Amino acid sequence: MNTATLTLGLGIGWRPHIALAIDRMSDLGFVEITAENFDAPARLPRHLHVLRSRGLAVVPHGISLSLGGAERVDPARVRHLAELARELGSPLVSEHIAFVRAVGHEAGHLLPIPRTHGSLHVLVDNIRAAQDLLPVPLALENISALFDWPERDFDEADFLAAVVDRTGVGLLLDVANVYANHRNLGTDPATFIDRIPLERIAYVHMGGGFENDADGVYHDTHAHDVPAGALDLLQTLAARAPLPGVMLERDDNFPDERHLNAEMDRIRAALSRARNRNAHRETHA
Amino acid sequence: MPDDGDDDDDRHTLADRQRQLLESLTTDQPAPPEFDPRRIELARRSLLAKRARGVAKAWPSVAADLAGRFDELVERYARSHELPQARTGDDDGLRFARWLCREGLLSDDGRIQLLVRRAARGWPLRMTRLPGSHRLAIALRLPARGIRWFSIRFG
Repeated sequence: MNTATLTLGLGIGWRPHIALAIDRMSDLGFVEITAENFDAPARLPRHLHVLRSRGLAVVPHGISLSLGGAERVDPARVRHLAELARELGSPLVSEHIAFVRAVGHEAGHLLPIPRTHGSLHVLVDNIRAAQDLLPVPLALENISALFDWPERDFDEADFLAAVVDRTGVGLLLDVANVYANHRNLGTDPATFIDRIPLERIAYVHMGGGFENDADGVYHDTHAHDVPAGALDLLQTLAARAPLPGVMLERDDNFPDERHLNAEMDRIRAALSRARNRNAHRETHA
Repeated sequence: MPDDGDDDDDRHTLADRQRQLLESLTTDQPAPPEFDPRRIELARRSLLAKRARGVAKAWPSVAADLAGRFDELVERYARSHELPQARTGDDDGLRFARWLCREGLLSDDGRIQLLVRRAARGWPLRMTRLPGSHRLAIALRLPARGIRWFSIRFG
């Protein structure tokens, strides 16, 4: 996917609980919807059509394709994403590099896949099958995980680069997931950012989480504020590459409007710091 | 290109490993060979907590009714009931409530909620015993009037 012409701007995950607060945000460029939450593309909430009429893009985001699963992709699930994209005039749709079911059993969560040559074969084949049914480009997201597979031919950055190279998908880079994997699996975020194809980033997710002292694990809940460490990473990333879109993900424990706007402000501030740093560098070059 | 194309062997290998992993994450099976068992246990607890949140969100009053036993009972239920294909908290919550009812763990209030939910789909007439108050509750789904329920004394 050609991300050079993509301009989404600042965005947020659209959820019914915060629909009114989103309606009142004045500088949004896009919203993302969870595709599985909308059974009938012809009967979408009025809010989404109003946002569309204001010029915002709406990006359908899937969570059930299981592109990294051993099973072949279910065409009906892809067609649902395609129908939403057509109905909403979406510039792209997105999904995950993950699996969510095996032999018909549901995990109820996005699970990591082994980063092996064999797994890459299957993933690439599944992505191509999905792309054949989609009317718009596809971007894929890196997930957070609490464990790693023992078999490994690639590190995460090289695996993402290989997927992008072989399929032409864009990257939906979840910076909070990079932060979570740093905290939980020891992934080095600087090396990760150095090695992924930054020019293929379609947009960025920023979600919240919390550090659980009881188990010593960072939990990527999307029900808490974005951690400062993830905002620092966003700043680093934004200083390195143009980001067509950046959005907040809040899925639960919804705050009041003032707090939600403050979370958006923290993202704006990180992007602004990156711009200022770059401008300062250019001035003194 | 060594990494291009599809290969049935790759799918079979991946299917075996993913099945093993999912079994250990959703049941009491040990971690598959070479996985870090502590990490798999963390992920198992995390999946269970997510499932419990989905059930509690769909059925807040049933969760409140069980008070301190909710987590323990969701875990017992989840061990013997895999996640429904629809993967919504609402479907999972409905099955959880029915399981509680069969196990005799659902209060009369919870039984009435379950009755009303059941009457909303399928058969328009449903009934359930309310052992706490020795009554029989009956729910009806009426065209254009929604669900109505009443109870009568028995025994």
